[in-house]
Parts: sequence; C-alpha cells; structure tokens
Amino acid sequence: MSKNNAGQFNELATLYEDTAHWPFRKEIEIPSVLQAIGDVEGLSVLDFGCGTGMYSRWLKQRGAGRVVGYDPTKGMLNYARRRAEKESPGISFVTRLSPDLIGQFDLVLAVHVLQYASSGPELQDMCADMVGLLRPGGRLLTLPIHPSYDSRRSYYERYGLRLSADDLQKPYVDGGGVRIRLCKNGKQGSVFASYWSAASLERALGQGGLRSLKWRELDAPECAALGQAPKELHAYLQKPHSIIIEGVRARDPQ
Amino acid sequence: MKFFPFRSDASHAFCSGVLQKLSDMDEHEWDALVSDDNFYNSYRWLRGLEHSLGATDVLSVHGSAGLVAACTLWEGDQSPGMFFLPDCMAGVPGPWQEGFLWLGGRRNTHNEIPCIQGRRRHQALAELGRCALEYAQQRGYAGFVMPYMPYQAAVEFAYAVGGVVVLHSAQASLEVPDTGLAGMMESWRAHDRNQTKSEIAAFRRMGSRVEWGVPDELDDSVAADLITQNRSRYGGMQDREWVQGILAGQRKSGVSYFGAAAVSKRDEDITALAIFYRFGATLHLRYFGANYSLDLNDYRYFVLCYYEPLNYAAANGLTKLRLSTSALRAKVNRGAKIEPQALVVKCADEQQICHSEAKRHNHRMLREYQDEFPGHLSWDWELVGSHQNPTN
Ligand SMILES: C[S@@+](CC[C@H](N)C(=O)[O-])C[C@H]1O[C@@H](n2cnc3c(N)ncnc32)[C@H](O)[C@@H]1O
Repeated sequence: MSKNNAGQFNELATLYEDTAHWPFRKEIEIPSVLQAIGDVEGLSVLDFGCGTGMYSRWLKQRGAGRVVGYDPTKGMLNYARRRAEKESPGISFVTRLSPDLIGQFDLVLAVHVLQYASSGPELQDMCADMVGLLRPGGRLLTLPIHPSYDSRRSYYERYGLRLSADDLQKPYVDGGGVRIRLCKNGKQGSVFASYWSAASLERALGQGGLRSLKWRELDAPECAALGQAPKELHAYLQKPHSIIIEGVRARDPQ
Repeated sequence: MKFFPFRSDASHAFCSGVLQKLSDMDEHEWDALVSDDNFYNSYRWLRGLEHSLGATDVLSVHGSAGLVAACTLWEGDQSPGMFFLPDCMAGVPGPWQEGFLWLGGRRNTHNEIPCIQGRRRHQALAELGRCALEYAQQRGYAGFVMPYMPYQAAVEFAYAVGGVVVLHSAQASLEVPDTGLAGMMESWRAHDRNQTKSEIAAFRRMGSRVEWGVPDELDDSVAADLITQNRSRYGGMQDREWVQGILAGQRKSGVSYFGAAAVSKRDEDITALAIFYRFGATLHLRYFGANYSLDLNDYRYFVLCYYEPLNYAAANGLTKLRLSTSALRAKVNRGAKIEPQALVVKCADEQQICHSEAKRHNHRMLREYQDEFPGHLSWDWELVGSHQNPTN
C-alpha cells in the first residue's frame, strides 16, 4: 500500500491533537464515535491511522485489552508514544502492519484515514487491510469525508477547518483532490486528501470483506435533540464533514 | 478559541527564538520531537535538571503548525572531565580552551536534537544550527558543540549546520533477548557463561538479594549517599547534596515516573542500587551507588547493572539496555556492543577547525576501537570507516 499521503502529517502532530478540543470534534465527532463503539472492556482494538493516539489512549483507559495504534507517519507516532507512555501505558504503536496482526482484533477503528487513499486501488487496499485485521465477526468503524460534505470553502471555517476541492465545479468526483486545512490561534497546517463517493466506499469495504454496512450521521449525543446543541454547532450538525461507516467482517470464508 | 484567519499557503517559513526556561514550552509538543532513544532530551528529564540546577535558555524553531526543532543550552564544565571541551577534543587542534555554547541537556551522555521527522527535517536542523551560531556569536562564544551524539545523528546534524563531526566517546548497549539473561547467555562462549553464573552464585552466597522498586519509594538521602560513594571513587566531584538535589528535581518533574530501581540487600541493609529509566523500548542505566564500607566481593555491580536488568527489560517488553560510556571492557565481556559517539562542533570562525585533522582523529579512534574490541562494535562503526575515507 502506498503511504504517499502519510508523510504530510509529520509536522502536524501537536496541531492535530489540539483539534480534539475544538468544538466540532469535542462536542460532536468524539462523543458520536465513542457512542457508536460502546463498551470496550477487554476488547482487542487496532486504531488504524492512529495519528497522535488520542482514540487509542481513550480506548485503553476505558478498559480495552490489547490496544495497537498503527500509523506510517513517524512524526505522529512519536507524539503518540511519548504521550501514551505517560498517560496510558501498555499501548503498542507500530509503523507497519506485520502479518501476525492479521485477524486478531475485535474492533478496528479508522478515523479520518480513508481520505488519504489517493487512488481507487489504494482505497481498495486500505479497506482490505482494515478488514483483514479483524477476527471474523469483528467490527470496523471508519470515518471518511462525508460524501455530501458542504463544498463551499468557507462553510467549516468557523470550526477551524477548511475543505477545498481542487475542482470547485465538480467537488464530488471519485478520487478528486480535497485540501484540508486546520487553523487555530494563528497555528495552521494543511494536507491533501481525496474525495470518495458513498458507492466507492461501500464497494471497497465490501470487497475487503465487510458486511452489514451501516452509515451513521454524527450528532451531539450529549444533547437530547439537535435543536438543543449549542447554536454555534448547528451549521456543522446540518452538514458534518465526516460520517461513521460501520460493519462486521464476514464470518464465512469469502 | 480563535479559528481565524486562514493564511495563504506561502507561510511555510520557520521562525526561531530563545526562551528563558523550558517550562515556557508545552510538554507534549516538545516530546513529539523526541525519539525513543533520546530520553535525556525528553521534557521531564530536562525539567528535572531545571528544578535542581536552575533554568537555562532554550532554542526553538517553529513552523506554521508548531514546534519543529528545539534544544536546551548550557556551557559545559570548566574543569577536566567528561564535559570539558579540551578533554573531549584531545587530539584535534583547535581553540577548545575558549568558551563554547553546549547544546543538549546538562551532563547528558546521549544527545540528539529533538526535531520533526520527514521532508523538512533537514531544514529544521539547519535553522536550529543557524540560530545556535547566532546566539553563540552574540554572547561571545567561539562556536557551539553538541556532544555524545550517536554517530549517525551527528553526521546528519553536522551536514545540516555545516559543522564537523569528531568522535570522542563510545557507549555500551545490549539488545535484550525475549528470554532475558538466559537468552543472552546462550549466545556466549562457555567461559563467559561460567563467569556470569559464578558471579551470580557468589552474590547469593553472600546473602545478597535484589528487590526492584520505583525511585519514588527510595529514600533520596540514602540513594544519594550510595551514588556519591561510587562517584567519588571514580573521580566524580559532586557531593551528596548535589546528587540529592538532582533526585529531588526528578521527583518534581515527574521523570521518576519512568524510573526503576534495582536494590541489593543483605538482611534489611541496602548494599547497592542501580537506577534506570524506561523510555520507548529502551531501559537506560543512569546511576549506580554502593556502600563501599561493606567490603563485599559479591559482584553487586554486575548483578544490578547487567544481569537483573536484562530480565527486568525482557519482562517489561523492552528490547534495549543502554549502559553509558564507562568501563567498556567489563561491559563487552558481558555481551555489550560498543556504539560510537561523536560531537558536532561549529566554530564561529570556520578556519579554526581543520576538517582533515578531524578526519584523521576519527580514523585513529576507529582503529583503536577496532583493535581493542574486535567483534563487539555496533554496525555504525562501518559508517565511521566509510566517512573517513578520503574519497568520501
Ligand atoms: C487526520 S489524521 C487522524 C488521526 C487519528 N485517527 C485521529 O482521528 O485522531 C490521519 C492519519 O492517517 C495516517 N495515514 C495517512 N495515510 C495512511 C495510510 N495509507 N495508512 C494508514 N494511515 C495513514 C496519517 O499518518 C495520519 O496520522
């Protein structure tokens, strides 16, 4: 699998970790993901494209058994290792997927990773890798760019995020380039990603061996109804830039 | 929280500066630049030094998304020893009696520059070097040095800053087999195996035993007393209060969280101790102390510093044991490999150091180590060899 897109994260660890405190992640994405994951007690979990390891630490602290964080970017993994050894020891962070990890996990989590596949075959490989790590019956939870994200450049800016499609006239073309920028208090970083349609994502995950696919919109689980969410989050909740796809690895041989 | 304004993508330049203390930096941001082997430049280790010995200036280089390179500064020692430049540079002509700026933690015996990985690493190192030289010149230093670097890291840094690499030391380390000491002994000759067995047997025969604990459980004054006894035996200048202050600083900075202490006891008396730090996949030996008024010939040094930690490391999933720079022969005899350590020097006046003299010196040192420790040198000595070839 090509990791061409991974290197662009080397300088972004601290800024990226910081996004966990930004309202669109803190109030919406993270609680939605955690709610979707449910109880992790004793589960073996692989955090695919773990970045700074924020989710890995959370999973370990909530009682997951074996936790492995995988990310090909050394700069991200350095952050992940240094922080986890202080706050959640016992997580193993790896820069490559060795064969002994295949079929070992109850849960594979892959948050904001699929968009870094820059071609159809790469997307296919990445999905096959994610699913292949699961034991039969294990669950995958992944969050790509929302197939119907709002393609107006300024739409997410108030949340510290700017998504700009290379071709503003045709933002929803499979494999089309999307520049993702993060900005807070003058610190800023940007990465190149790719757009994938719902059909392409479903196909790639299905071919990788994922079954019972479900799409879950992000919401603000702490608030009983969308209307009760803080006003400043409404625009994000109407058009979240990401979405959860969930499925299980088929039990029967393909 | 302020999410505006998004600037243009042209803002990729670095911006460097000097801070008066490490606590002005964010711990996690700093440590994101610290690789597994670079424990002595990790935030908590350096903060411990700051607590005990006072703050020093810090050089930092930022990119648009945050810190990309940084290091603390000091002045080396002014009297002979491991951190006295004329001693480190013995054999290489140059202005070493003059004041130089030292990069890295105070009295560190392993240094790498905390720096980002990836495409812009070289540029970030170069900018840090530029900033260090400017700092040195403004304050009247003759240049800067970073000592005790792994050879490859030194070559990389020297290349980025236009400095010179000078070999000046070597460090012993052991790859830890999954099965610990037993696995290590399997790879030894019968003579070495028997020697180790008899040393461990002698230790037990004398009624000694080992207990592992965390440094926080130790009485600092007892630990400092034993460590000082050992240091003064080998020419160390620091007194007990100094060592005690260092341990107190470590407690305060939280670095003792990474610590592990092996204590040898006879009945309830502590006869010796060794203090290690776990970091990444490595166990670093930092202090050994012993009560030399007990005239025990029980090999407590070897038991505490080699044999026991191999088992401890294996049991805790650690794959490397780093054993510092002294007594290399004894370490080699017990399975250690010797790694070259180099200093990077950059003089304000380029003419003051002769590159070919430095190469000759490095080559000489390579040959000495090859003669003295054949079969026990780590792979990076081969790099030393290839770099000293006049055609390179
Ligand atoms: C936006 S970050 C997300 C980090 C983390 N999942 C989180 O949500 O906090 C994306 C991560 O995906 C990683 N990545 C990029 N390409 C990848 C690939 N082909 N395989 C695995 N990870 C990849 C990057 O190194 C980066 O750390």
